[in-house]
Amino acid sequence: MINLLKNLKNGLLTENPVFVLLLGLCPTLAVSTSIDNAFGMTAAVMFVLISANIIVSLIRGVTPDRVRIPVFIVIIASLVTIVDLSMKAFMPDLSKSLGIFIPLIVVNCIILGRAEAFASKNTLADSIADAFGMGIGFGLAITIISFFRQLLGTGEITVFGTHIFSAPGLFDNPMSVFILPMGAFLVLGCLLATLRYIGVIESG
Amino acid sequence: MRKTNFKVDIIPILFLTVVVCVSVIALAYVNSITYEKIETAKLDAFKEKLSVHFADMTDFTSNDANDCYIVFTNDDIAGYAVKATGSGYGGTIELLVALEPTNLISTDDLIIRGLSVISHSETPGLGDKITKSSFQNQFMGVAFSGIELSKTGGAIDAISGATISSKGVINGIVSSIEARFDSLVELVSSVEVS
Repeated sequence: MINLLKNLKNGLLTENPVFVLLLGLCPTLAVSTSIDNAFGMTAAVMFVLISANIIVSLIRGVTPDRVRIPVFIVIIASLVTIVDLSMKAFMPDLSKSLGIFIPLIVVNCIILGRAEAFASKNTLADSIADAFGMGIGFGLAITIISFFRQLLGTGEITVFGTHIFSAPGLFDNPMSVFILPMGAFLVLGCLLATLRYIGVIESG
Repeated sequence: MRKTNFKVDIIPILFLTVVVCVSVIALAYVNSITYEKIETAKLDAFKEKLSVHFADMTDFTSNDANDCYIVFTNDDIAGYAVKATGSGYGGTIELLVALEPTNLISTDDLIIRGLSVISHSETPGLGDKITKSSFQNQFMGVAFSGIELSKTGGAIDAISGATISSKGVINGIVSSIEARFDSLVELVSSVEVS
């Protein structure tokens, strides 16, 4: 049990995939334009990550070493396609706003990274805990980034159609650069520097 | 050359084949249960797009190429719609242009009833404002000849910071309607005959 908690905390802080390992930056930077997208992306990544870790951990004893990477990729790609199809069928709106980035989860290195570095060497329970930790860690990171980008870039925060608040002054003259790809790098860079400075994450 | 070793050389191939087969079966199964739902969702989304412009729509019909539509309210023609494609800053912009039920003698008779974006890949925060009503409402009630940027004498103000996206929409509407006008006329006459 302690082990499981350790794995969870590991993903959230000590080895946060985005802030510490700097993995999966492509979707983190690309879809963090609004909090809705961040939540949708997190849900999709969590599903793929947990299922991939489960399957990889279950077959770790029989997977020949030489083809393990292709096997992992096939598993991950199938899971992503399942997510993509189900999302199109049951949540067409969300699927539309995430667009190409759902299929691109296939090449998200968090998932392949955890399958290769963790699930292929650890027990089922540990792998699930690791997937949860990493998934929540990813979700936390992308939500924080998209919060700042949405706030600075549009001047207001809306979550799933519900208006939370508008920043006075910023709403009339939003800094559109933060919605652009460049803004993602600015926000991520500043966040990384701040988090390291105040010691939330340790600098390597 | 060393001898083929079953464990080292053959097992990995078999294993990968099995994994691929299993995932193909899984995907085929998921596809079979989601296929119809995805198609209905697409059709519903399209109906909704049409009904934004035609509030009393009861039915619609399309031509074989699926780019011209006639919208009916009961048995009367409520208006037309044409699919349009333009090239924006980030790629193709797909549009749906709703038209008033005018005579169809030449494109000059056409009056835009409304505009919606079906798909686009414009920059979030800038070009994607083409999906906002503040931009799209400018097209309402404009004659076909007025579909031009206001700085060149038309009725449409470009989105600031996204001139290419705005132009893409306008050029898409103009060129697609010009290209599809004949098919629209044909579709309408086929409906009126029957």
